[in-house]
Amino acid sequence: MAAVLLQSEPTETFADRRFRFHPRAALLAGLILLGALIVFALLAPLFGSPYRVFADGLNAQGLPLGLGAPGHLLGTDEIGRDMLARLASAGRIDLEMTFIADITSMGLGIVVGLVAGFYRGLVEQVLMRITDVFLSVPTIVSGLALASVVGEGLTGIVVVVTALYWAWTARVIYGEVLRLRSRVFVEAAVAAGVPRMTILRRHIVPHLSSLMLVLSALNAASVVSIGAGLSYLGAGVQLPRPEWGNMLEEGENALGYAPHLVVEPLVMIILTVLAFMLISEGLTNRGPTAREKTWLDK
Amino acid sequence: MTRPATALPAPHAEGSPRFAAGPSGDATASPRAIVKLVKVTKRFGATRAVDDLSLSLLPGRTLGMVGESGCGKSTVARLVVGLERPTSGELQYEGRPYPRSDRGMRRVRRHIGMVFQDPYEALDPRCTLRQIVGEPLMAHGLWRDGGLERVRTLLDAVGLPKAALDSRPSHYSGGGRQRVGIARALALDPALVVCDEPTSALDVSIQAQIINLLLQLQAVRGLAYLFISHDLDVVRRVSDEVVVIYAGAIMESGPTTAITTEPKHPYTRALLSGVTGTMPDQRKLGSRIRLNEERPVPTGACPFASRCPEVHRACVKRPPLLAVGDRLVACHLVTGGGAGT
Repeated sequence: MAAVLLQSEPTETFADRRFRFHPRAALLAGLILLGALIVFALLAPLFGSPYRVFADGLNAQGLPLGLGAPGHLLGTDEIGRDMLARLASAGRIDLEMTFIADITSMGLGIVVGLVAGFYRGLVEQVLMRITDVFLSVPTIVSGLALASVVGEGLTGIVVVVTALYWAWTARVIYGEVLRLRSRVFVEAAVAAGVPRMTILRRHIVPHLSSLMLVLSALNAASVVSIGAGLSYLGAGVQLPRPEWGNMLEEGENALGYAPHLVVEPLVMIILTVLAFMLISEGLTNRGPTAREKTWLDK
Repeated sequence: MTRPATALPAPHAEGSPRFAAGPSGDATASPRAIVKLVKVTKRFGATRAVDDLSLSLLPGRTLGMVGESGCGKSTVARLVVGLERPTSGELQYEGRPYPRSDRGMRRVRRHIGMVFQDPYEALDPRCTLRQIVGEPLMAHGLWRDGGLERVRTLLDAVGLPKAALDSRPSHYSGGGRQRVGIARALALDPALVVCDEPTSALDVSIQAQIINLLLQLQAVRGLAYLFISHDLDVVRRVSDEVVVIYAGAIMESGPTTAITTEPKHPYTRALLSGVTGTMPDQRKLGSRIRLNEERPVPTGACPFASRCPEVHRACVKRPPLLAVGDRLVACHLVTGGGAGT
């Protein structure tokens, strides 16, 4: 048995082994994918203006050009604008929105979770009941309602997404803080007379850092889809400024004769979500317990 | 303080000030007590983890506390260091009640160290030994005054190399970690150190090292210990006096030698008969006493009644904790209340 295993080993290529055994393969893949998306978005000016209507942008029947058209690699839209330029320009605003809203919602959630978990009593009750309220509202409907109040554009969507998502982070962080509080080393610090803020800073927050990383990657994945989703529904980033969500909505009408108008922004959204999911997966498996190999991994 | 470090076998309580424990607290009159518990009760829901317990912790002396798991020993430790507050009764530090405020409690904590049971859990894996041992000093604003030097001295005192300063707990096995825990407990030069089962998570060979270290530190620094353990053999080695706890209440207490050679309470006898040590004085105790199965006891009865091999009619009434010679016992058989019926 062992001999068979030994024999089979050299036939595996280095790449095989790396993919199968490297615990950070997912992290690596996610980071590469995200990096590629960021580069694509940053290079947007190279692809020309997203608003320029090309005279040769439509075919003889007045329909959009498909994939691989000369000069328009990803085709054109219904009025003859270059899809590549529009997708890249949209990517910029989508990624910007994702990073900002991820940071704000995570930040708010972390602060609320820490405070509620560490200061018990009334503070905890009030904060967690508020959190429960935010957890229980239906995302899309309340998002749309809120968007109509806070206004459109990048700021509006960041506010809406933050309001919709901070409570999830707050819940998870709160639970983890409660777990850490009861650890003996925290009690030892209390027994030694260490002030609360010092305990929080030295014994609670450092133990949350890896969880925060995983959470923020997961959170980003949700933020991408809800941000694009709200724009698709007419809130958030407004036409003519291209954004993957409103591009989807715009292309919808042409689904019958120009499916690439829907498929392309959709693929961008999926790739971005996938990138964040892979990163969070990779970060999860980076934990000290996950790093140990079991007999199953051999 | 008075005992040489080499006096490992059961230390005698010769001419020592009377270690006092009593249900009324009136026997605890000694003004010298560092920490005193007066009729302390701690409930968790319906369970009384600690039941009307009074005792005094005297400077330079070791009070051993024995009892099976779940009898409330650890709760006593947590009460003494202020991690729990009593449901009723009072704890006093140097004659004054424990302060209610956080800030006031911090002043008391400065004088009480604690060594925890599980050295793998008690040290933050992300901190270096410098941070762990130095933390109490920083917390009380003593770091600037040569705090680092003090940490070095402490690590040296517990037998760790000075180079350990920047290592993390993960570099050490159980015994090494417990040494770190002891160094932390001593950082503020406390008068009293509460040791909550400090050896029960360690290998037997390491246990002896840690016990010897604790005894040696006591001899040098004149520490008082509250030494909690379920292992009577260990308690006998370190303690001047022993308190036997069952269901949060004192069953028997007194000088270590008296309790371990001539146990009077049936529960103490049962505990001693289970000791697997090799000391000659144990052999004469004969074979192991088997206790009855634990069942709920009616209120007002002796808490040990359902398991007591010598239970009799008088036990439906709870026996008071009374002085018998040099010890206190709560049993009708010993104190005479209705015995023989």
